[in-house]
Amino acid sequence: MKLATPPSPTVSRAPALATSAPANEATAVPAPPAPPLHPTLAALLRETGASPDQPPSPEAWRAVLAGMSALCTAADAERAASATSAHDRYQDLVRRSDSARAEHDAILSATLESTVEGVCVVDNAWRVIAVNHRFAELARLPDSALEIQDQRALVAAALHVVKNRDEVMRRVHALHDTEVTTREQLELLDGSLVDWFSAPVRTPDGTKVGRVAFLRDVTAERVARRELEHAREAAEAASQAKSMFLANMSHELRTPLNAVIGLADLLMLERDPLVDRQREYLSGIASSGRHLLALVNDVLDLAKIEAGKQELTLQPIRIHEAIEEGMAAILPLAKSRGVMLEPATIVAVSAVRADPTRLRQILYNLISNAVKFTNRHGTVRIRAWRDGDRVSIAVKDTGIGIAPADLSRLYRTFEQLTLPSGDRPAGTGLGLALTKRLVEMHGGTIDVVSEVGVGTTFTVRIPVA
Amino acid sequence: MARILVVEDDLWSRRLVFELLELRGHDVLCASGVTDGRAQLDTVKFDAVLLDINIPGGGGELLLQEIREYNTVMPVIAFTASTMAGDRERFLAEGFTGHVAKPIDVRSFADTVERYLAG
Repeated sequence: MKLATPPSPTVSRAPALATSAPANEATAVPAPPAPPLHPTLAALLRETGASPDQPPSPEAWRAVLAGMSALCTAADAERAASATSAHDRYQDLVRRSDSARAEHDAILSATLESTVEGVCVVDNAWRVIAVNHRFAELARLPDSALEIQDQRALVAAALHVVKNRDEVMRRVHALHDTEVTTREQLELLDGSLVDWFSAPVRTPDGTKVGRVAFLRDVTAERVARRELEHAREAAEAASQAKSMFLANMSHELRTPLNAVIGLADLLMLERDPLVDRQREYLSGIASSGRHLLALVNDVLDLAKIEAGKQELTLQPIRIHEAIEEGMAAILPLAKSRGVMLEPATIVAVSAVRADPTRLRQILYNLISNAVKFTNRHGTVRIRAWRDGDRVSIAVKDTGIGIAPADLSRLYRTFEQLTLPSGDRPAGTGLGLALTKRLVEMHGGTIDVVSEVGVGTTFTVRIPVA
Repeated sequence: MARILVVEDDLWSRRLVFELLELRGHDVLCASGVTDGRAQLDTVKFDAVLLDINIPGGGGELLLQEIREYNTVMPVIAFTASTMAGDRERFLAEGFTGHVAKPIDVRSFADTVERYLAG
């Protein structure tokens, strides 16, 4: 209820009252000035024809009193109603605040319950502030454990399923007053594995108010990881087995080849008279045997490299001698094919760091390839030069060249380019694949530049000695 | 001319080596495994042994050890198809006099063996 404005200065009211009763002025006994009246009361009085200076008739007075009484009753009622409303509003606010908090708590609690992790929050005084069902579940505890108020009691109960519980208990106690964040794995008695993440809980200003632990069952993850590891090990073992099989098979093949080649050669030693056709067949047997032997040797080498069993004996090798030796080995083939092996150009290098047998193999493969793919009257030329901490050795031929489309197949196993005649060239189809791997084992590189009908240059770069 | 024992389990390799050495006038006896070789060594006095490594009865290395127990000077030549790096060094360390790799070169084989015979 709003009360009316207090009367404005009495003086301003006086004329109004005076004008309402001018007739009484002359007869009235001089009286003390009338007290200022509340306008409502003044209005009531006016309605009955009375004034502060002239008492009303008993009837009029009763009417004034009745009016006043009604006004007061109404005011009381209004005041009471207002008080009730304020109380209700207050109660409503309290209710709403409580329900907001309850809702907030419910969301937090539901969040705690919906995580896959077991969560336990404690304060600095070892009181359990919050703990979820998953925690009890992971610790194989009944739900009643969630009522435990003391952290030490809860941890003691929870650790019953942990393998080295005394040690873990000591860790929990040692961590309690620290601000350390830790993550470790707990092994349970039933063999499952639980990831335990422990961290301090801090207020926004950084004060530590407690600690929180997150527990997560990682057994399945570990099983999956182990299975993956086993699968990888099995795959590696299979790959090793394959390489070992190839190595063993190659070795076993060499023994009968020994007899094939040796006996054919023995027959041709002119101990017995042979007709030309017989001699030709024997030559075919021996050369096919040698081809097979070269294949077996290359397969064996590749298998050893892939099985990681190929070891290099690195030593300084005089590059001049290595190249001369390689050229000498190819000379008979070059002569028979009418290909000119030009003298090597070796600029300012003395030695490379390489395995002697393997370097010989690399040079032999490159030079023999150059000769095989070069026509009569063509040339093969070898150059070597120092290139930083490497030595570059280039074998350049004026041969048939390699089509761009064939370049990508160059280092694959059992890929051979076809000669213009349509014949398969001599060789195993493994030479370049093997050469590339051998060069790379030395920490070197191999590159090729080629133009069809013009020639090919292979360049290997091997660390200088 | 020498008396040489060839211990080799592959029939045709054995025959080939036998022929090549006999062509040079050597007296060649053959065995196909450790047991057979041991029996020959017990009954005949040899000037040299050509010994395959991968043979039945315990392997060429076993037979070499037995030989070296009573004879440290007789040439015993490892005769293998093995090409593993370091094999040669390993054979020499084990007490072999030398190593001849298979497949052999029929033109130089007898010469190689005779070099070991001469010491």
